[in-house]
Amino acid sequence: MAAIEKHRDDVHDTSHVHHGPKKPTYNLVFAVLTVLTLLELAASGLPGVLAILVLIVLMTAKASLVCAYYMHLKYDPPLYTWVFVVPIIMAVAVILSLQGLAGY
Amino acid sequence: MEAAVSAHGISAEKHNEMLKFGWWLYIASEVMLFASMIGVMVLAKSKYESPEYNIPLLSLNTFLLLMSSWMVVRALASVQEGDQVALARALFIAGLLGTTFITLQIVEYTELSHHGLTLTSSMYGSVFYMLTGFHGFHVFLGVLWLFGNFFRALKGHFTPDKAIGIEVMGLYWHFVDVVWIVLFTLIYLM
Repeated sequence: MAAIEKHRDDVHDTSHVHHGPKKPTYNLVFAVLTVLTLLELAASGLPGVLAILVLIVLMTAKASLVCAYYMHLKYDPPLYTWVFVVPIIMAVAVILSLQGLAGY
Repeated sequence: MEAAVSAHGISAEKHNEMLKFGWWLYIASEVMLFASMIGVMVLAKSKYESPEYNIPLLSLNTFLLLMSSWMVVRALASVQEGDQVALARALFIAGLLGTTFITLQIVEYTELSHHGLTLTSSMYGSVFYMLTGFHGFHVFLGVLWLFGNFFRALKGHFTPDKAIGIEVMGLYWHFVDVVWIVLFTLIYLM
């Protein structure tokens, strides 16, 4: 919790200050998410491995935008990001290990 | 200015930060839970032929969930601005969008079962319904939370300095949205 304490001392002058994005930023993120979803639909028609690569990039971009702006990870203490990212790394390892165990 | 003190004898701000941290820990545990199921789903996709999915319907569902997340962050911004009407309106719309998502998921399940994909038809069917159903259950709980907070908002429960209830609900709802972003790509588009 020390990281949270440090961050709070850095950015909060009073308990009434709300950090984080405002409505115009939220609106812009929603527009970008919509465009990325349309791009995903278009990319699903690409051939083989190229489609998989493009789809993974677009999926990661969409999830990152939601986490950064809607879940405020861009604005909150880095500790929250670590609490979220470490299990994701482990999750990816679990998924890849399962494929490996199955012989793929 | 003297900081507000919660019932537990700590400042309201400290209480809110501890609550948010607790929710992040919960979300971390959910990541691992979904990861195990997604891992098996990816495995099933490599062994079984995927059924013909209704991509337009699923794309609409994706759009609905993205829009509901947008409404939830607008609800948070509204309460921080002290706009009670906009807060209640955004929560209600987000709840309606979540309800529509669940309804369309039931439509999708009905279509797939008519095409032979059931919970017991194959390993693919079992994993598919377990994973998407588990996510759908999270959406259902989120919808209950959204409408619960909508009624609390109507009673003026939330204020610019008392918005943590909206913020932690948002964390949960956006996580459910992130999971769907992953499922939509991995299950339906790949």
